[in-house]
Amino acid sequence: MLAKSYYTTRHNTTLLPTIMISILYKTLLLPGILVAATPSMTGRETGLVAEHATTAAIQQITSIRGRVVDQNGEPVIGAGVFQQGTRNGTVTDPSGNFTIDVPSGASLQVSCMGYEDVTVTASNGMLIILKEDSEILSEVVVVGYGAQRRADITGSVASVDVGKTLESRPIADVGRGLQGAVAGMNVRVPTGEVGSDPIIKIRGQIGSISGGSSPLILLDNVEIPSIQLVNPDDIESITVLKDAASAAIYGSKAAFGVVLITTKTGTGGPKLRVTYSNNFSLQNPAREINIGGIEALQYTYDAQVNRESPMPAGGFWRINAESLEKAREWQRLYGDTVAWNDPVVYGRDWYFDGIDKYGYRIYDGFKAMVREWAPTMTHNLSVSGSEGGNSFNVGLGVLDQSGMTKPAPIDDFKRYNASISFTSEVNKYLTVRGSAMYSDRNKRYPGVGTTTADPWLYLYRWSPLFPMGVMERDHYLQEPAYELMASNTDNLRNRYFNLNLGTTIHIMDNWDFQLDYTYDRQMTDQNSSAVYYNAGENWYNPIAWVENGSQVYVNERGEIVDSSTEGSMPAYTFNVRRYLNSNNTEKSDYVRNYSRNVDNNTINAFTTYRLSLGQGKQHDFKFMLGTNIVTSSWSSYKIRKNGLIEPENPQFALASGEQFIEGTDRDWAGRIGFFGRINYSFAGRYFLEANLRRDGSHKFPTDLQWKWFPAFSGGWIFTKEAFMEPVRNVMSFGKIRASWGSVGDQTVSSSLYKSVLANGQSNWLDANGKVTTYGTPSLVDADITWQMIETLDFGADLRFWDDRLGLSFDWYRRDTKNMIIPGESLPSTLGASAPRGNYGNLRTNGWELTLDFSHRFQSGLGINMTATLADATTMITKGADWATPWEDRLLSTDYSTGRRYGDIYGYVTDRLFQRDDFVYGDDGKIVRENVIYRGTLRSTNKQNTPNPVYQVEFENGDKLVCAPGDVKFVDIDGDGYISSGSGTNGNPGDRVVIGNTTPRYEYSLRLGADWKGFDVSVFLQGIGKRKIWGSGQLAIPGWNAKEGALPKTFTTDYWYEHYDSEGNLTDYNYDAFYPRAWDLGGSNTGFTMQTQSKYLLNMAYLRIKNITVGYTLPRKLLKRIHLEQARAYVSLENFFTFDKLRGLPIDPEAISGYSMFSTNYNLGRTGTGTPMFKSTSLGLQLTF
Amino acid sequence: MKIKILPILAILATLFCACDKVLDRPSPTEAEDAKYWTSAEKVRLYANGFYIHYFEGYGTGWTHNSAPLLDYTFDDNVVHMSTQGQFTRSVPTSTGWGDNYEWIRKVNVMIDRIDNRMTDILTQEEYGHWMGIARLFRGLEYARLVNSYGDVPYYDHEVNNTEKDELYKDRTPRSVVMDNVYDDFEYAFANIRLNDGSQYINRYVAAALICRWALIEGSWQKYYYNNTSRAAKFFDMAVSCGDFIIGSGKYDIVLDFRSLFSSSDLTSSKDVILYRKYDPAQGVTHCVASYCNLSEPRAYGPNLDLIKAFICTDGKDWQTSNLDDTDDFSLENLVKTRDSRFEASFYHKLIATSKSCYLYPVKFISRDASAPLTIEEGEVKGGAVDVQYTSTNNTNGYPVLRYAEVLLNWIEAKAELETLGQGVVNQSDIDVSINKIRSRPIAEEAQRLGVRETAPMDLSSLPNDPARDADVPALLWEIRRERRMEFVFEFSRIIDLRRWKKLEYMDTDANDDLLTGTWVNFPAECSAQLKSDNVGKLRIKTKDGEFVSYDGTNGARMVGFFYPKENLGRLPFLNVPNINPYLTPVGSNTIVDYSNKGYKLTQTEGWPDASN
Repeated sequence: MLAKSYYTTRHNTTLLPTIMISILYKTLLLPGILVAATPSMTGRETGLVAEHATTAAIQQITSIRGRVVDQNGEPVIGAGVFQQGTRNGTVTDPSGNFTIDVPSGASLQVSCMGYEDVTVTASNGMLIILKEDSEILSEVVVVGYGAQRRADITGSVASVDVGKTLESRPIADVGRGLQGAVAGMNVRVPTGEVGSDPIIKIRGQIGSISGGSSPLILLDNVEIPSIQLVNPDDIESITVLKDAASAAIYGSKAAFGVVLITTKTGTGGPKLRVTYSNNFSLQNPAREINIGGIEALQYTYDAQVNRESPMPAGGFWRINAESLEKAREWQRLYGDTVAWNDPVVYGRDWYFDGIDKYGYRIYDGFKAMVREWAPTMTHNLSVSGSEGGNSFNVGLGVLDQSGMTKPAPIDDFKRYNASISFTSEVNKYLTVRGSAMYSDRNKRYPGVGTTTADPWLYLYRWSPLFPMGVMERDHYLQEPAYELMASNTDNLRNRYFNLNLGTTIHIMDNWDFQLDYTYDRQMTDQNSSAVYYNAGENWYNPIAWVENGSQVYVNERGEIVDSSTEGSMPAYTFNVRRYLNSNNTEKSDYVRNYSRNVDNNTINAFTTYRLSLGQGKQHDFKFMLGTNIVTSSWSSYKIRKNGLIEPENPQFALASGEQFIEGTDRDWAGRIGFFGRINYSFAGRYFLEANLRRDGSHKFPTDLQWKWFPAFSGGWIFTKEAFMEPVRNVMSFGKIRASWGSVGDQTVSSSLYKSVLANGQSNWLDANGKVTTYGTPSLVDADITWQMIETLDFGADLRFWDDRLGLSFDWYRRDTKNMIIPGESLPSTLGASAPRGNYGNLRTNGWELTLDFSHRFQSGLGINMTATLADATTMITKGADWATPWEDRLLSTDYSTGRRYGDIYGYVTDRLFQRDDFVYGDDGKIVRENVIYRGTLRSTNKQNTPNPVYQVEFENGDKLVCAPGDVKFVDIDGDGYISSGSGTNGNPGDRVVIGNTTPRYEYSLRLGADWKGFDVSVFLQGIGKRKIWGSGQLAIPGWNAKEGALPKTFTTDYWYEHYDSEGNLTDYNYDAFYPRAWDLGGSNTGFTMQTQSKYLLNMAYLRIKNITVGYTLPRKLLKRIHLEQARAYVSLENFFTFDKLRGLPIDPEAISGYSMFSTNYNLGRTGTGTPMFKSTSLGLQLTF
Repeated sequence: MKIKILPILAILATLFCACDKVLDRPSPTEAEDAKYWTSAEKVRLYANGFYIHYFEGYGTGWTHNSAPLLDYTFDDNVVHMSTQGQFTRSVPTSTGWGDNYEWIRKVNVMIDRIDNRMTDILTQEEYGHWMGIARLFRGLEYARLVNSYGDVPYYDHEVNNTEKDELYKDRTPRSVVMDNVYDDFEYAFANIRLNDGSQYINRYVAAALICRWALIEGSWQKYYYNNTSRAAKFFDMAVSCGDFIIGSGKYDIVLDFRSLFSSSDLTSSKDVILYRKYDPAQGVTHCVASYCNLSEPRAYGPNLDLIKAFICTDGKDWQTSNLDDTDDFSLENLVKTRDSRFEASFYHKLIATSKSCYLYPVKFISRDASAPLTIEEGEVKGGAVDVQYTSTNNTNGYPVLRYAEVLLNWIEAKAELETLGQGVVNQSDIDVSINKIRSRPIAEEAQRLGVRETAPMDLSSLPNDPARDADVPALLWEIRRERRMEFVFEFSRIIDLRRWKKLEYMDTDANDDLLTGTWVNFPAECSAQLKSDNVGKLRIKTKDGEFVSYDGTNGARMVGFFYPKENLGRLPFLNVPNINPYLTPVGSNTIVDYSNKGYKLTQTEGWPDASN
């Protein structure tokens, strides 16, 4: 546990620089250094020390030995034992023992992070029992360029309980672990792709439309490109700076909050402290992927009938009435005997009529593609120690995670981490330190030639008639499972290393100066190749099956028979050919390399001066002044060479075809900030803080390069007031605080500020190949300037009943001012989209609530609970159309003035039309009538009501006419037509706001208990409200019925009427949820499947993210095997999900079209990526 | 202590001084408008962006907007198994011309920069050439716009986003727009280089394009707007451009018809003025040939009306031809008796994969492609299509501008001028144009099938086609027929019908041939299709107009024009109130948006203003 790993006293911890703190903690572990170190920490006390020292000199000094244990009798390591009121002190060793020389009868003050302080009279052989300190007020929290006692913090700052949040969990990275850990920090994991980054947002989903809206992630005060590169085991602390007041010190990259990560440094004392932990897990898909079988064929067939399109239905593999019947018969005859991966057999499984292929057999793509019980393991080892003024820490970590692709030879993600750090105190004025870190991430995946539309798409794309994971006779078929299997392995390797050198100069007891320089390098190396496949071509028409020059005949069971046999038919087979996915000509197989290198230099220098004034030194000041300079440069290239000599060994040296430089880039960046901060506190009750930063960024034109960012905050611990005395036994602590700050955002693209001609290559070939092109210069707004993010925050931190129950609440308002957005929509005669300018204002209002409770019963049973709840909504307070009257503002304007961000406009679904909604003629057909809609005569079905509501806007007067089974909408404006109006606020037709895409009401709950070495914890996380109009076949019923893959949810619950050949109704489903089968031809809206209330996807969910049960072995037992601590646990990750998606194979965290490789992944279709997985795991944690 | 402060101050001082160096970091690779326009070569790179747009050819990969065969299935040549494509029947909500104006912006920027930033950089010759190129592109884009919308807002300069009055201005009359286009074309024709290297626009390319668009505008003026003087102005322009190209002697008709579309490199062919080349090594391939590979089922195919339009090898229409059996529509006979372009455009055997008509278009694929296939009884019985003819693996190039088109444009413009009383068309004009094309070589494979050269056209004995419209003179009728045969499935037919004001040719109620396929003698030619699977599905129409559906026993009677039940007509579009099939309406929301901002955008003539 973090809290036990270092030591601090209660009163030494007002603002200290980050790195200094960790060093001092370590140095404090040794009594010899203590004397030198303490004065620099709390100058206020130096006077006291001198007084006591004089008194002590005349008393008799005895050596006292004692032992410090917790309530369970376990030794407390690293507890500080002080002679009260002096600097004389020591710390306990790993067995909890200490020795101290004190005057007899002296009082000893014993304190340790996480325990309540105890003052006892010194006696030899004493046993001191520390009570666990439930409250966390004394915890020191890392903040921007410093640290603060939690009780004194005035900004909105959350610290993560690293132990509870990250340990014992089979998670690959910190980001995934942070999901639900901090109220107001939203982490989304949109895919099960191993090695991908989660998406982190602080306080609302959007802070700026043109900018990144992503928080700044700092590792020991240096920006890192990905949270994945950090080994969770190396982390000492994580702090999240949420409001502008606390983040402003980091300047223009911190506009959307900051995640501060500090790494572990040396601890443990002269004896080396070695910890080892591991975790072994098995992954399975987190939810069932239910794709329709026979019913999906029926749906596709019905859609064809409903659209009155000519038969056969289906794409590539066709369906007609006969083949559908045959497919049913196949299930009866062979459903139980033919295994999912048995070869395809002509005659039995499929049939070719000379024009089209018809399938009878249903294949199981899931079995062919998805790997179950995929193993993953992690190992972490750290060694640390300290002696004299020197300390060191070495950390090593390995993660070996399997991906979810079953047929691929290799699909995994590996990460190796190594870090080393040292600190050396040269003399009482000078401390030097250095550290280095290396992180090597390697994602290996099947190289199918594309990362934008991968085989997962095809698992969910084609009808179950497409053979998947099967062979035909002795050859493979062109299908995703085969291609995954036959591909080479590509890899994406990200390496990161940094070198840090720093020094702290203690100029005076109350004045120090720190300088740190970090060089880091990020190296991306992506190797890919595309090879020829060799497989049966089942996409196009088959060829005759000829053996030894003569046509083969088969019977209905697929058995080879003589041509004269009754019922024999000439057999077909799939033409086996050599092909390449991208480009099929000779020598087009290739090896490709993409390489990108980034070099960064970061200098952080700052000086801190403290001052105490007034009677009893009640006025505490702290001044800080510093600078932060970051320079970066990067370059990249992408090269390809065709013609692999050894296809299985794709090397540039072993390629003989043409070579191409597919892209190169080179750029640089620079940023300078100067900052200052004043902290003032009075009597430990009133706190004020002021920050100012001036930032310069290379991104902007010279006249806009520099900008000031001010921020202020204040707090009042009202429970320290006398008038609160009576209630203090109930409310033990209470603080209210307020903050305001303004930060400029430089995450926007620099091309917004200058007119740029995009460089590219055209597919027009001249004598030398592709010609180079430069595009139309971009339109730039003449008055463009910075966009500013202002945050106003009010918060309260309250603790009750001896600090056992805590409540923290924040209300905030974040204003994005002068937000850069596209200008007012202009007529298309402009010939360009309106340039972006500072036309917008955005306002996010939100609140966050955190509740924590912990209690230990007399029996030794300890329980703890943490709950968070947060919400944020964003309004566009000023959009490009602010000058347009409200009623004329277009619904289609994304950021229209006065609109709530994420609102979905759509129609309100009434119900499905039923048969008796229409008037029938003598021929049994629905009577047609003509109506005039928008000046045009339209023919439509006559409705059986005196007050018909026509939906002709979605009809074409021909085959697209509303009929039984189609959606009936609510006529909101009561004009007798369902219409889109003129698409403005004033005339929206029948459209209203039917939902919002923003994740709302994110909540989490952690429950834990421990008793006699056993511990159990459950962690739940969820989103209360979120809706989207999906995209693609998994989200929209009938999206592309022709292609055929349809979730079972659609195919088992759609409106239908089936008739036999005589025209008698044989089966119907009038109570269906989904409308009659339709083929939208690959469109997300069409006919009556308009954006509407009923078919929005409800993405709210509750996940039991983690359940852990652990057992810590008793120390007595361990001692014999020279172990200090040992714990074993079982952990279940992502095991249960509760959602409202009606069984659709879409994960509720999914984001349409999102992947680590592409922003339009798998054609932007919802849910078509690598399935999310759950893990079952076992782990061990040992300390030597 | 002082000693310690000094180094700190020194470090800080150094850091402060470094500010300028840290922040002055302009992108080393980005092209900024302010610094871009420094050489003629830069102008070329900018102009390169227009090529794919104006000369799309077969498209790239699966992407195509104006590719032959795939994007030109809406005219009177094509029958679709299902309902035929519909004309726009109601005013859409949004306006479709945004894309056109992006190109206009691009070209106006080019003109502005050449004029305002490069006068000291370019030589006079360079200036003339690149300004000519720019004005050619601008003329082309406006010509395309007016062809769709009639009147359109005209801008001859880059418009800034703050110039609301300009952006929201109402349509400029077509005549004003086209007079400007005329001037642009004249300038381009006078100044563009005669040679700017292979694959780059030169004066011949410009002249061919101007010839095309001038003919189109002349016809609109004559037939739709009834303005003969404007018509003559543009016909004259078309003729002079044609004269220039023909007179240059650089071009000729030397290739057989199919080779024009199925070769891999015709960049220096005499038949081709501009060529789009494909190269698999560069990753530039297309998919159009894959739709010609016989194996791929096609729902679109040629209809009987088109088949009947093909001229017989004696130079007469099928009804007045002196050849024997021209009313025998069996495919074997059509191949032998019709113009050679028939065999070059359609596969010579009936095949069921062409589902709407049984005649399969193969114009855009190599003759070799069908070699591995065994085709019998209307089916592909064995063999597989070579990989390069499937998917997006096609590598044949497209003649985006060919000499034959110039000849047909030129002769049509001349013939139109004659009807306006300006000049005469004489036999030598016919000889260098239509007869030149008719004497084009015939592929060896075609000759083996009995394909013969069509007799030259004789002005003194033009066919007297009973199908000819009374208002179209015999010469123009025959020129139009030549165009139809030459450009099957290429860009021109629907544009031609509009400019001739002949959209009635697409009225399926008036002409059942539009929905009818080719002649199929099932028992003799496609007996394999007479199987139980096809009971109730196959249908033919006899010469007497009687329908026969296959019932499993009447195979012998299945002789006639293939006419599946699914081939259905299109909805009425002529003389329907508030529908003008000739011109495209602008969106109702666009009109509302203009009026909300205090401006007016007039709806296209023949369409209703937004209401409801």
